[in-house]
Amino acid sequence: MLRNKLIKLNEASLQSIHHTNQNIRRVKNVTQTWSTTSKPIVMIKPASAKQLVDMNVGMRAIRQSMKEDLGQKQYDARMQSNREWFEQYTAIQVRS
Amino acid sequence: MPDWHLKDRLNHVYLAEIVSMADSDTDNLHKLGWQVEFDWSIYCQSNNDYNAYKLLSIHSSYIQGAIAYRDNDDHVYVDLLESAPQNRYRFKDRIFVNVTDVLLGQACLYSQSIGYDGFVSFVPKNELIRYYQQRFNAKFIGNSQGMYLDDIDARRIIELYYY
Repeated sequence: MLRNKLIKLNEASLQSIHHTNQNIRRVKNVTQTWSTTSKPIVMIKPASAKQLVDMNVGMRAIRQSMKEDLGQKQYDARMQSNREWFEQYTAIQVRS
Repeated sequence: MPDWHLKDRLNHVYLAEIVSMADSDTDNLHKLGWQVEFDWSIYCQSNNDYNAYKLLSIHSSYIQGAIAYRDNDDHVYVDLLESAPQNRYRFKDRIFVNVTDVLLGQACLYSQSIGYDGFVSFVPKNELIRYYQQRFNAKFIGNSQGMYLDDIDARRIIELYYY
């Protein structure tokens, strides 16, 4: 049975001001306590060598399957559309 | 430069940034409650293929989460993703609720930037399979235990949380 450990953390104020066109939000002075016996926090775990091989083969098959399902032309158009969106989207973020 | 935004339980928004993780960042993680089974310092060594990044909220030096991924020929493979103890799902005073989203979003963004169209693969913890299916529309890679996000899934995450 695990023993609960409480770690009290006095954090200097956790402040974040986020300016948007609509509003300004502010949060201040959060004191955090947590138990180290909470559920595991690793969300994604390392793959074994065999899993990696299987996944690599599988991903190639998925791409190939997409091309076959959509047809090469539509597949290319979809990927091109993604790239254009990405360029525009990240350019907007840089400008703002 | 803050590129992402984190949300807390009250839907307040915080600017956040993802920056490279240094070996010195990993020194105290286990003492802070990060899982002892995983050694983040391995990913910070120069002689490996992985890039390790930490997620920071602006105005705080606490690492909110971390991710390690690598270029995998036609997609980005995420080897490890961990959320800091204060952001755990079951922690009653949980601070940020979208750490995994933002970190996965970073992998998707990188995948997009290097011409892999946002495709990302990873091996989820068994108990989180449903979580990834429902929250991210992750799909299984064939009969393997791996899951992946495609171009549309990637775009969705980026549009939600990237500035």
